[in-house]
Amino acid sequence: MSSLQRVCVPRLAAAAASVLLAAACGGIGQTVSPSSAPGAAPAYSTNPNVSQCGKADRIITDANNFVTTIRGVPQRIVTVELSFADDVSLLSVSPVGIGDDNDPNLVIPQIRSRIGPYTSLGTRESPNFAVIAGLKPDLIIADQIGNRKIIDQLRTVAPTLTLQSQHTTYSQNIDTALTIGVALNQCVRMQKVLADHDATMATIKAKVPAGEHRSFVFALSSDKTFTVFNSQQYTGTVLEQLGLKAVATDPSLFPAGDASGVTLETLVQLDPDLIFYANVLDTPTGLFDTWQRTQLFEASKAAKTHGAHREGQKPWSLTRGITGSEVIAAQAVHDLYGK
Amino acid sequence: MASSGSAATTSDVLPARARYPAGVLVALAGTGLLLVAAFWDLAIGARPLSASQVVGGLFGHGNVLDVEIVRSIRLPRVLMAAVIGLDLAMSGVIMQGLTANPLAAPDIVGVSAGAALVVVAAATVFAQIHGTALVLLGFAGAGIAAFGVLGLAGVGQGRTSPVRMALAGVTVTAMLLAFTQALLLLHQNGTAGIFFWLVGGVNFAQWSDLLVILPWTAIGAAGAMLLAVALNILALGDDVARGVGLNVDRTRLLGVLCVVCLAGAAVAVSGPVAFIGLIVPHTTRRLVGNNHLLVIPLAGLLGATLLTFADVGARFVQFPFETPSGIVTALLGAPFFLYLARRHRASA
Repeated sequence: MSSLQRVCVPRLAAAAASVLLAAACGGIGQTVSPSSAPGAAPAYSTNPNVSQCGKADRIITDANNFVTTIRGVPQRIVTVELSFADDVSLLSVSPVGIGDDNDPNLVIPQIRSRIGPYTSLGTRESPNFAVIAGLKPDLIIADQIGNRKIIDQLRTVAPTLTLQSQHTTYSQNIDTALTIGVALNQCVRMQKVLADHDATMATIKAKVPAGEHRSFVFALSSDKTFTVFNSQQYTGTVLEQLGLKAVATDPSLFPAGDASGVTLETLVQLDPDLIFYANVLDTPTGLFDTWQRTQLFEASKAAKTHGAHREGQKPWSLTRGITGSEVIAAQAVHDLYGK
Repeated sequence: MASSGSAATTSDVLPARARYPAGVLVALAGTGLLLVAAFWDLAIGARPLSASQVVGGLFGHGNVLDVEIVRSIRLPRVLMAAVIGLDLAMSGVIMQGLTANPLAAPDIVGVSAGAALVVVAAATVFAQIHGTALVLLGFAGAGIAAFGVLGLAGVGQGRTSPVRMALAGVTVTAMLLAFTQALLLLHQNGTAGIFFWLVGGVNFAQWSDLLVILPWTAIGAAGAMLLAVALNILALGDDVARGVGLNVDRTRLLGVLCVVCLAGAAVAVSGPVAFIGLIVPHTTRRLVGNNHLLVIPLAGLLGATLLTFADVGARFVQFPFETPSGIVTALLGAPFFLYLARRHRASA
């Protein structure tokens, strides 16, 4: 996919989705997102859930192609991943339970401000079933990858949608948001949310000088390892919305949905213009901080142009979601251009 | 160690077969192979370097970037692979000698599990601990685990035995692993990269790590050589060893101290690299006989060689990105372990 495609497809897709949603929900006019283009390819026409908008009983096909019928409007929603809590809260619905790894601070303030008191489900990967059952949910939203081993058990508790959060891309996340809108019977509201999001991203991108095409990597640095995320992972796909180009694109070298261990030598050889990194648990010092003090790193483009930027782990690698993408994009623009 | 008051001298009771000519050959071949492995490991990396660039880099000649890559990235890595391999192999010899168990490895006294628990705890809960402090704490964790095993095995109370040591080791290791797994499960956010470390490898070796580990390696290796004769006597069995005046408990205590110095420091830096401590002692014994005076240093040499080659092999798994060398040693070691187990059962 060319860089132009990377930038345009998600936006066009969102616009197309808006049109489809508007049509499917009926009576909501033909409003499309600001950047929609006439004749845009209906990238989300393959999302079978859009056709269920507005129905009392909505038949939702999830990321595992499992079909779930959701009746009425779910009121007690449990989200096992943070990005789902983000999407749900954008519809003014506060999840009754969230997988937050027993740490309420894991939910970034921008999302926290929209949700009320909730019950922690424990870890995102292995949530506490007793807690979930005790919450008497009428809908559980679980992660296709992180929760794959417990999906069947979750379905015994309540109707469960398996959607993409881990290893998702920016455009897939918007698709997920659409499905959540259908599931909550709030198609119109989700359309507005996505249009607002599109406008927000357009505003952020307007601060990016024309012709921005610097290369970047995003990585997590711990005391022991430095793991680079590939261009198909969420943060990379968000940064590509700004015109930046991911270095870690070769799927044979950077397996899709995985992260690769990289030494300082490999990093210098990749030689990206920009290095966005977060220390695991946001510790004061990680391996990359040590590397930055070496002569070898000083020879890199990122060092020469002060292109290494430290970010927070929570918004940049854990949250994902609509709000998460806005936070990442805004922070990147602030770091790069001071705007 | 035989007490001076013993009626028998160590030479009277030395049970070990020593094949000195074979030992010389193994030493020469091992040194040659180690040099080949080290140069190969120095020569491969994300930045292609010719042999002359590598040699030039070692001596500070050539492109500044090449010199930095060779001296700051590749050289500490190669040296670390050799040192860790030596540590693990020597400690494997000691453990097999102390427990009279051919399937024993340094892990049996809990050093790997102890170091792993401390490092995982630091990564997930005590995130402010890092760098050299973390290595030293990991080392301390290995030591505490080992002394826990010794305590449970009854060392110092005159009732230690290889079986008690093995049981105590399995118990303590299982308990420490359970704590480690609980930490990993409950603190998913801090686990990024930790699984990489838990496989074991020297991928991110730095000079500072090497400086931390070298003194402990020197102490452990010297201690192991001093214990070599006592280990030969212990190979006759506890009763005979006691009969010739060997303080069995003290020997086991000193042996475990050496294992802590060698394997504890190695695991704290590189993670628990699997099977080196099992494969190499066996191979060495088959080549040069059972005399620990030969087996200990030559196992160290072959351990250094094996891990350096394993590091070379690990580079090719997803070149130029990193794969822990522990994967390669595990791929080699698992079939070897099965072979040993079958052979042991057949000869039993």
